[in-house]
Amino acid sequence: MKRIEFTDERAMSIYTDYMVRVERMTKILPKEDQNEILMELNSHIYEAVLQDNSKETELNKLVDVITRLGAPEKTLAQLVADKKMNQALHTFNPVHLIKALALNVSNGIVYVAFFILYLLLAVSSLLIVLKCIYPQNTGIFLHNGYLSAIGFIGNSAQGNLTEIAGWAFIPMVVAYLLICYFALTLLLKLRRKRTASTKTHAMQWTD
Amino acid sequence: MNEEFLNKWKSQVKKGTLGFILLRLLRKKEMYGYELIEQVSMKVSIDIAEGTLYPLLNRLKDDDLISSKWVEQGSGIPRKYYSLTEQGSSTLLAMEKNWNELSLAISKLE
Repeated sequence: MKRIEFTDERAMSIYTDYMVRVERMTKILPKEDQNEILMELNSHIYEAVLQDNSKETELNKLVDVITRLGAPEKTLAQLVADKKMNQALHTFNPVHLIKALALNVSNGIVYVAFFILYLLLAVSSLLIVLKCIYPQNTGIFLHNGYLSAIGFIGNSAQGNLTEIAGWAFIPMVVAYLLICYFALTLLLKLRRKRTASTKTHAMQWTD
Repeated sequence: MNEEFLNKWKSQVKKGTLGFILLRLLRKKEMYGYELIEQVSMKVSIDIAEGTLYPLLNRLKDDDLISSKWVEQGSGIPRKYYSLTEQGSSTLLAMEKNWNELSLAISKLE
């Protein structure tokens, strides 16, 4: 990206500092999104300074634009949260998802709920570890031919229960995790589509 | 008159109609971010913060109502131009119809 050249040294340093803050703020996003935001802000600053017809100095014009833009940490928060969520929902990558949900927590209780549901799912994956360490205590248990428990049970409860899944329990948990993960992510996608359109479309208050 | 209530109401209306205003502006010609801010301020006297404009443009783009492209400039610093998509045009027509109906209905309440 071509940087703007300011003749005033102080202007140059304010501009550079601002761009560094933008870079830091967008680091969580994929490279392409980072560039897109950086280039658009760069263009915004360039146009605003260029089209300012006042007799002010270059430095004052720049300070004016940057003041209007506001701190990147604040100005870009919404955009970064939106873009991160798009990336997460696009890739189905759990790491991106957790980061995106964390960025969006302030956007509503529903994101907190999703965060908790994903966390519960992550905890369920511990069953695989437990099965490896305590194969007798982990699995699907029957009591007199009826389903009695799924998961991990203590030794005292194990007495009259029979574990029926054996090592097949591990692929079952994996399948369960995958299904829940995709279902939850699709639900989030759907939910997001709805909020995005109500936020975007004008005249929402007529609904 | 309740000044505070009025101001709150005005800002709600602005927020609710900003997408509509942007789409209407973009129907005439494609524009870049800074130009849109200038036009909105000049034509409808609304000062949009940049922190509001860019996320909104991003959402309109996600909803496939507008598209964007980078256009090289002599300065070497390209502009990102936004324009209405086909879906944006038809959605805008429906929005205008709704807007006019609502405005008419409200004026008839007198």
